[in-house]
Amino acid sequence: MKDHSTTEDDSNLLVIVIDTNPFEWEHSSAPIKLNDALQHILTFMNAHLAGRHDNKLAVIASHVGVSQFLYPTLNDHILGSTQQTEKDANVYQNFKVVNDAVLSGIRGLLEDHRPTLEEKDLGSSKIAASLSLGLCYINQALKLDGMGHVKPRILVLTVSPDSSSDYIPIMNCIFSAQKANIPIDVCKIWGEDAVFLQQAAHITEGIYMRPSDPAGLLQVLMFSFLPDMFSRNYLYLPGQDQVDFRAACFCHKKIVDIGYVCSVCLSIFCSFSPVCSTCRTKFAFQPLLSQARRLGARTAASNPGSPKTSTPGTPVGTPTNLTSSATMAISTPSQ
Amino acid sequence: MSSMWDAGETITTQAPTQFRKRLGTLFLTSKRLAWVPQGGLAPTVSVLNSDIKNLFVNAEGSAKVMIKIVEVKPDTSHSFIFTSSSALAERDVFKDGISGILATRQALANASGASAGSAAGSSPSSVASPTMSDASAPGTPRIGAGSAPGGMRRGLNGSGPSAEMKLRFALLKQNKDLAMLHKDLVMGKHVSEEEFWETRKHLLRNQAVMDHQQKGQSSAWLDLKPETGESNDVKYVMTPQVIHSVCQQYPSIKKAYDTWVPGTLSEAEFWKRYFQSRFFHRSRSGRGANEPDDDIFDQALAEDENETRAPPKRIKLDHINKLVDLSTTEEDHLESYTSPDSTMAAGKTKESKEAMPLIRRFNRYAQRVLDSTVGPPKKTSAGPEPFNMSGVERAIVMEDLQEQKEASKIVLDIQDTRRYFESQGGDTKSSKIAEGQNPGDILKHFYRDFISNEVVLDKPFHIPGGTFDALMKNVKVNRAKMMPPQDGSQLLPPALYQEALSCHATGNEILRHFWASTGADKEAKHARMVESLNKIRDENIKSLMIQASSLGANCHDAMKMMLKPMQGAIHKALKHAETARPRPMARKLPA
Repeated sequence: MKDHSTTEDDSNLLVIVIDTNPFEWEHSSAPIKLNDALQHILTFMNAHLAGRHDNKLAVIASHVGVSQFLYPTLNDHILGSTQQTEKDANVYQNFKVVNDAVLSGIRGLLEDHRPTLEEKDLGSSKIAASLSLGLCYINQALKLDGMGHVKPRILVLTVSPDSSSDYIPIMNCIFSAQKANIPIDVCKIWGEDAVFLQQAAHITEGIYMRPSDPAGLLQVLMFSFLPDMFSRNYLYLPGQDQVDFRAACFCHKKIVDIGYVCSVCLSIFCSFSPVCSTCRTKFAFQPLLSQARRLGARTAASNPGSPKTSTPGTPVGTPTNLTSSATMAISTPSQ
Repeated sequence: MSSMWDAGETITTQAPTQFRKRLGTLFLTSKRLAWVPQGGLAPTVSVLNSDIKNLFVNAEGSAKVMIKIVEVKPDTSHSFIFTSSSALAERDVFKDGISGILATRQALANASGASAGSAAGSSPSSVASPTMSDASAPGTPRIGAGSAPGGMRRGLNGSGPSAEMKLRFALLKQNKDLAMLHKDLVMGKHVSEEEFWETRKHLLRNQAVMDHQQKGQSSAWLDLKPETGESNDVKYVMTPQVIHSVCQQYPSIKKAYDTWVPGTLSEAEFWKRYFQSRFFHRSRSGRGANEPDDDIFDQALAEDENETRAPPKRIKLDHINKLVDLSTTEEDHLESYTSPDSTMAAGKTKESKEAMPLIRRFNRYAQRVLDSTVGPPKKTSAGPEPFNMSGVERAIVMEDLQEQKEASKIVLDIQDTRRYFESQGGDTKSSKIAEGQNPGDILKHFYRDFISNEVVLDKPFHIPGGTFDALMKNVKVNRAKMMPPQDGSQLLPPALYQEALSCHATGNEILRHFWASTGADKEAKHARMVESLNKIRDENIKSLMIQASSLGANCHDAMKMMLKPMQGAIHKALKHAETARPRPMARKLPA
């Protein structure tokens, strides 16, 4: 359980992805305004930077149709770390740089009144793109570091529901993060659970939170997401680890225990069909289960008893158990 | 006295002895070793010949003359003290007699167990005799035959029912869990033997393959180590295995053996001379060149040295097409600026000169072991290539430089990736935009809103009171999960826990048979499985629950937790059985 690769002296790189989807923030049911939420979020960012002198931060906006770095911006790298911000005697300069960069970045995004809206997926946030940006940034930071001192993590602050067209890109990001040992923490500020991000947190051993009241956002952020990777070894943190991994078939959206999985594209079906409707792969054999045999005979598209071809690359489909529980495996034919 | 012995039993030898401080007589008969106390009518100690495992005698010259018999049964041994004036001689008689029995048995076991009996075992004296001479006990050298482990394999070559029975038996013997399950299921009459193995064909197949696999010859360099006897005698035991290794290692010895044995020399003689020869001792320190001359082995030695000193033969390049063979036109290129590289030639430096013979010896040996296992290297081509262009083409094409042919693959062509999401998240959810609203208007309004209300950081926060409580509650729940689970493995006594596990395994197996027999053609089996499931539910699970509840409420709960999935599964299965076949039941009842 304990991660021994972390130490007290690590520098923590926190990549925050802020969902700025205007359609959600502006929606009449939104319990908190973006301006108010940003007050919480900026305070949290400052707290992270205050935690250690070498803590690092990156902020990415996941907007509608576009995803963009808010801090550090491209100019920072070219001109050095200073931006043209007037000094304020009451604010720690490092905080001010970050706060100003984030606010002006968001303002810039909102100024554009015609975001690229895709026909199919009107007004969904670009979480997958933001995660990719974040992972690339982390990769670069780790390469520059070379000493293994930088311990990265990603925090996604989201309000949008899952975007169905993003499934594969998000899953790819999740698996990359898992492989690189980067935890993805997720805070769904309000609304229903975000299924993908819940899985993201689960797979990468991050924390998934859905605060009961978004007005207490700062408390949730400070309590759950401020501790660095080293401290997490010793803390019991909030977060739910019960994720719904049940699969529904692609054809009727029914939750199934036993189904047929296309061996090429991994689509799930509740009954055997000789052609996969997702990837158009043709299966030239009969399924093994007796129940399915009847179904297969009804569709009668393939030659019964035709020998299974075994050339490499030929799809082989077998009824596959979709649940891991041992008792399910033996006790539940789907009825 | 004769009534003591069985019919046909003859007394081989007898002597007065003391056993547990009582006087009596020790007998060695054709069947057993027996000790009868003085004045007794029946033996108080009786060890069948087949039960004798070993014997020990104490050193000559000690105060008591003792013999100790160890039985095959563990921790059972008997010590007898010979009491007569000729104790030593009597003990030797007994010792030889028992040694003989042991040796015969060993030889029998070897003859039936391995393809060739241990050479040492064939002579009785080698088991227990302390007098060992240099180069004793020759064996029958059956070169090349020693590597096949007989016995086990014999029955498995066939695929008859007896072979499968043997496989099953072997599997059960190896796999304790499987044996347990087998006991519960088959002995418990839940499923038949055939049904049990039906689902485990892959295990049987594995076992069969493993048994069929022939163990190759060991490639280890043979290191003949003598056994040193009591009186500094040296004994080498030559088994067919060892002889095979020697011949493989030193072809010159094999040659000599083939020439001289059995015509001129007997086998024993041959090996005796081998162990005394300079050939054998040359690599051993401490024995210089003071071995007597031996024309056979001196010649073998010379051959061997010659072989290792000579560089390996060059590979013959006959099969290379003359049209592409550069060496054929060598004389045309006399004025070349290059010369053969001599720096890399082996054996130039002093060190490498010394190491060379050894390296060659190892290499040759490795080659021979390899050849004996996979066969000699194949001849690449029958004769010289014909002088035509296609031959040239064939000669200049290098396989490694050829482009690899891509395996044919099916391109993944997914029509709509959104389906993946839908199978996980249910319905497609997207940001809702109210009817009749223009997305652009929303954005404009949102922007105005954002600009007009500036984010102020020094404004006080109003955190709702419930937030912290909710977080703490969440933390406590997570903490409880991280604690070591209080389940059956901790709470229940190990024996009961094991019983619960095996009950679970049994139930699972029966459930598997149950669901596999839902087809119309297996009604009888199905009915049997229903019966078994009922039995498991009403007997095994109940008894476990009763046992657990007698140990306290904690145990009861733990057991309940453990068996709950099983109970649920059985319940579901029985319900299925009820609903699925009311018709056959109804048909049966009137009849």
